[in-house]
Amino acid sequence: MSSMVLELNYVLFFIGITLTTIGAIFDVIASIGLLRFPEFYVRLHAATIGSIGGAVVPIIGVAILALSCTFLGPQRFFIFGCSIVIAMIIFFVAPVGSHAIARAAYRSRTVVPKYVVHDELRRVRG
Amino acid sequence: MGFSIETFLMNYVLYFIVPCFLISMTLYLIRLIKGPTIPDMVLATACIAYDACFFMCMLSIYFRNAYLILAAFCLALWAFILDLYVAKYLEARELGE
Repeated sequence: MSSMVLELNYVLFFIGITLTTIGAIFDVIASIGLLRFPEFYVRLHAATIGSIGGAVVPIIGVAILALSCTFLGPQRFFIFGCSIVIAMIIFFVAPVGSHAIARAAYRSRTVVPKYVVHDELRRVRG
Repeated sequence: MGFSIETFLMNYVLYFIVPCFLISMTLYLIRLIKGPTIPDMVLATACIAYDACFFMCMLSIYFRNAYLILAAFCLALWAFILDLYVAKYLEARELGE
């Protein structure tokens, strides 16, 4: 029985390590994109990669990782629950925030789109 | 068995997670300082806040202290509030009322 629990810990550990590694790589890619992309509306793409791929995925990884860490004692269930809740908060909140900021930037004409081929919204709204 | 979860995790955090996040936070910070417009700066700030959120979750395992994770809640919600306030200010040129 105890060896089975030990093996389950190893399985959880490697799932968590994989998700965290994917998240860290996504985050580096997103930061390079945010720095190199030419315009605000293109950078928005990199920023949402950084928030979903670079935060939600690795926080779920941390939650699974925490379950396997027996050296934490009963604290590991607390870390698991909090991490899942934080991941859900970011998952729902990050797209809303980036959509709001893009809408405000477009409508207030703070950022005028340069690389757009056809702007139907500008034609309709005037 | 020769493999210990604890030792591997400590080395993994120290030699992989910390460098990756230092690199990405530095690049976000460059965009935050350079950013030609206000929305660019807000995007970079939100990304830094979400990163710090994940980093704090990881550190709560690293330092074996579960209470560190409570600060991550505030960070996640703070970035969202910053987005909404700046969006409202840009569009309506006023806050509240």
